Amino acid sequence: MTDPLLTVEHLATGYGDLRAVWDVSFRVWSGRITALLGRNGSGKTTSLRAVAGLNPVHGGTMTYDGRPLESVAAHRRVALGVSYVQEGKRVFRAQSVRENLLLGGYSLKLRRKALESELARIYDLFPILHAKRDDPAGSLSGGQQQMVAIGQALMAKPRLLMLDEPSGGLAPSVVAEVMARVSELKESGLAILLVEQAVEAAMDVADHVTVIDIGKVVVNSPVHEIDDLEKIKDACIGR
Amino acid sequence: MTTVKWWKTLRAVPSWAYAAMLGVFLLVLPALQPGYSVTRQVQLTLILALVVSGLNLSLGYAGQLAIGQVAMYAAGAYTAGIISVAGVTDLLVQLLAAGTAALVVGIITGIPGLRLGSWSLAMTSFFLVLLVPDVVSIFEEHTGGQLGLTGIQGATLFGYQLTPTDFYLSVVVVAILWFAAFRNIIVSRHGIAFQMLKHSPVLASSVGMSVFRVKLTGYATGAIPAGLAGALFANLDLFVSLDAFGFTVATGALAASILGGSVSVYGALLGAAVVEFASSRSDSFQEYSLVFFGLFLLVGGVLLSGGVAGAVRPLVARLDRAAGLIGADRRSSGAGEGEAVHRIDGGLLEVTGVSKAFGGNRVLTGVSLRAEPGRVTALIGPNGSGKTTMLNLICGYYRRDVGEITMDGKPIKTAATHLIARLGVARTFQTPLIPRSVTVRDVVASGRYTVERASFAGAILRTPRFRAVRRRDRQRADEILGLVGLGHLAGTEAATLPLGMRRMLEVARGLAAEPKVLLLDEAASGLDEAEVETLAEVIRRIRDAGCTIILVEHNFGLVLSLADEIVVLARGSVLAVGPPSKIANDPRVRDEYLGTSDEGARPDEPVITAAGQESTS
Amino acid sequence: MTLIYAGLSLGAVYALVAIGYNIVFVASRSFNFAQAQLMTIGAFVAYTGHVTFGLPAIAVVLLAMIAVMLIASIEERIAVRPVADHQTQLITTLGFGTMLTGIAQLVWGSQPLDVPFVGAKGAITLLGGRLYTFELGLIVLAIVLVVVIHLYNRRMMSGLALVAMSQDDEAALLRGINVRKLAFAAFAVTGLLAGLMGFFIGPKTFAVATLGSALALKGFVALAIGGFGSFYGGLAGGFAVGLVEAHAARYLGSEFSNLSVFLILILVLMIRPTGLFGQLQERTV
Repeated sequence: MTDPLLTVEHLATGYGDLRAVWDVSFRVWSGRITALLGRNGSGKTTSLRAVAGLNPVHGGTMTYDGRPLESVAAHRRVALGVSYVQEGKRVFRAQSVRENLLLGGYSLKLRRKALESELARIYDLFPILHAKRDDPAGSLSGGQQQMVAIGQALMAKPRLLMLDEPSGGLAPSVVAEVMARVSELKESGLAILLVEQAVEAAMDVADHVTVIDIGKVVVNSPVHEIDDLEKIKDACIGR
Repeated sequence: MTTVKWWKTLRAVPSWAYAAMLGVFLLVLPALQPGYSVTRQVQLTLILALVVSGLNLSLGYAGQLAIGQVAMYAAGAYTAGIISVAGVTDLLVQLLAAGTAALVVGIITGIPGLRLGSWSLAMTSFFLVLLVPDVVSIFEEHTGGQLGLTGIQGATLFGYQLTPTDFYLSVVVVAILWFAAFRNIIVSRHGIAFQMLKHSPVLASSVGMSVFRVKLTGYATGAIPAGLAGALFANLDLFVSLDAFGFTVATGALAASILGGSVSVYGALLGAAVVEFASSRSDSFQEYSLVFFGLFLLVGGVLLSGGVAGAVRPLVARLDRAAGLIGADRRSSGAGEGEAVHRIDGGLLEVTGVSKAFGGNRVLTGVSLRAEPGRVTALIGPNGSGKTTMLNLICGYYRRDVGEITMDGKPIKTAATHLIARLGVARTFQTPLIPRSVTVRDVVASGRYTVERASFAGAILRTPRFRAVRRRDRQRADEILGLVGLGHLAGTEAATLPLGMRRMLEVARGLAAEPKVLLLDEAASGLDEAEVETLAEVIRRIRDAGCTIILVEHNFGLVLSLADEIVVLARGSVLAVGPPSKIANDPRVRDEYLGTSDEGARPDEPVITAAGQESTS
Repeated sequence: MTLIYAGLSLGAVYALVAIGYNIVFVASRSFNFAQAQLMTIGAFVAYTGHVTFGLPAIAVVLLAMIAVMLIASIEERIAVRPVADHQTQLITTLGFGTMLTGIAQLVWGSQPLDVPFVGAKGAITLLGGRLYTFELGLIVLAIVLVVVIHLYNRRMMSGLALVAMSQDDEAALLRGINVRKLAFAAFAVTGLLAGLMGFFIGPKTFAVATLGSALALKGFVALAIGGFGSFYGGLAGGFAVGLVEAHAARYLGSEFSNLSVFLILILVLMIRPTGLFGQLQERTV
């Protein structure tokens, strides 16, 4: 097995004095998908935020591409190839789809003209965004906004893509489409960390699964070694 | 250690006693024949302190950025001057008229700014200062315009002409009375109400306060001392001119407030003394005065801790701890004995066919649920299923699009939040809302804001009724604190408690409201296992006392052990209803939680933000 | 027409203040109470450059811009960045502005100083009304600045980033935008512009230390009318305030001009709190 791109060990983090994560470890490899599962409030999002640099690290280590990540400022992590798609489709609603995507490439430090030519990559992946490129992002449907959010993250040419509940609030057919795209992205060599409540959908695409509960790891295994999906489901629902 | 002993003795004396000593000293000062310049300095300082204390009340305590106090001061001064010229020289009448004038100006100009708060209020109130010269010149024949108002006659009291010493004593007495009243307001539930409002209007309305009314009360009350100060000022020099009411004075007063500590009663005296003393020093300081005022504002604002008074407080706390006056044990002691929960008449809460959309996004569609007295009804569902939205609809933070919500058969209109709270709906918040520098006991007592009313005037005069209500507030608070296991921390500053205790404190505050319905919004999140156990025990007791409890919770295990009835929401609709045994084995619920369901799916569900989190403005 | 020109040129001054407020507001949601004082300092520096040193106009403009940019940078570091909440920033920036006023008084005295304009202070006739060249300059400057800023925010990456930050600064951070640095840069740029504005407003308002407070308030009214964050709105609001003030002074008397503006402010706040061009904030709870 190759070395993981991201190794998180014994991470402790939270918001202010609210400690949401006590001891969480997981790994993400290039060209693979790691699913991080767990019930609401188990600390999945908090862990992702810590990797992205939004939450302070109280303990543990995060190693990305062989170097410690803790001391790197959040906006610099993007330039290093860490892209985080937050839950809730947080696009810049007042700006057009095209402007949103351009902003996604901000960390490349290119002139706007050069960035414009990068847009084609995203339009190939999500053709609907090309048709809607001049519409305000806030006017799009939920699924399309999710595409904008993922497209933004991909504009930065990431090596690690963290997706936080990409299926949240989407119709099943849209979920299937989003998941299909996620699988395609994996094939291109991207390391993907997927946080999901939709256990089956996530397990369908994932190569490795880590389940956490109340800020601690309860399952950590390659997906092919999991014989009983029900156990994962039980762990996710908190029983 | 002798210092510890000294400190204990010092602390045994209540803080108002020191202020009282200062008052007595100022009253006997004329006997020491200190000379004209000293008494004049004292009078000017007290007059400024009155203006500043008004700022402390509205800005510091009520958190309203009202920085145009000087306009109220001018209104008082000109009113007093004009009626004096007209022959009304009795000081009491003068004070009454000036205070009323300032109050009227405050209310009229405050209403538009208060509706919006923050910057708008800051600007409208500051604008008043700009208007003073214009208004004065519009009424030039009465006010003397640019030249100043002359012809003011010496003040009288009940027909007697006041000597300069008499007048000095009058100024001291007015200041003493005002500061006593101010202090009484601040330590009363109304003072706590101001601080709750400042911390979060959402919190204030959740215990039944009319946010606008409390704001206006704070702002208008803050205008009164400025008016009184104006009357005293007019009678001090028997001359009123525009110089006394410009931007320099306005910023000076603000600087004095920040310097002494806006969130303090007696800090106003200190701040006013420094500013007045410095301004009177010499012409050279006057030139630098703006620079210094600006510096005070800048430094005071950056330190934020609240000026000199704020800097002293941690020191006092440290000495207290050293002297063993504050208990070091900050652990929860587990749920206490049960007798603290009186019989509660729970209300039957029924939600029928309620829908809600934000913009084009439908969050709730035709949701009905029924929460009965003496039962815990849990509301569960995945993220974004509409649970918190449902709570916010019941509390009135949102308007529902269609549907009906009733309590005991009577419809709850989509009225103001505080009116719904007064019907007997209490709640806790996902992020505990606990105002700073308020004790644990006062936080709980604040839940009783509408259980028993106590008037503002009663608080100032400390009427027997006020005292009785206060006694019951404290007694009830202590009983409830005992129940939730925080009894030993009653005197601690609540905001410094760890998260678990703050959650428990919110439950206690909700219980203090003697609610018919208690809504708990993720009360267990972030708690460790022992804390969850205590919380569950407390919730059971409240339920057994007869209260209707609605519990929004992610902790499935807790819900199963606690709930009598579970309502499962999925994508804005009710998926299943039933007792825990039924819900736990319902495959649809399990699938919904794990996202494998494909029935009735609907795109475009927004993520709902928690009610408490947006209260920063 | 002359009266309208007087109102528009006065309004341009307020619009310029509002532009300064808006840049800072868009970049960091803060309100810079000292904006008008920064402009006043610009006018003073322009006076010194013109009259005391006798520098050519272009040098004067550059001097004023750089000087005020430095002051604004200091302000960001000591009065804005260390203060987390926007309400307290109002107090600290007011403090900084007050200090500037005090320092200006110490350095330049309290007498109004007449700042010369490029060329002569000549009056021209336009569409049947008369106005001074510097008044025309003010109006043109306000309009040009707003158009330039609008284009900048649409065309340049840093402009797009600023608009993005104003919507969701955390999301902006996750796109690799150095939010703090950009907010600082925006503050410095408002200083740069305030220097330029000072050069233009000096001939109209004179350089006088006490100018700041009134300008700050009228600029806010322009902002309130136009809506926070809307540059075109601030421009329209500024012109509206200037016109109201000029007409009230002409027909009711000068002591009614401030009162009329105040009345407008109250009316706007009561009827349309978000301003004419502002967007309603969704979901406050």
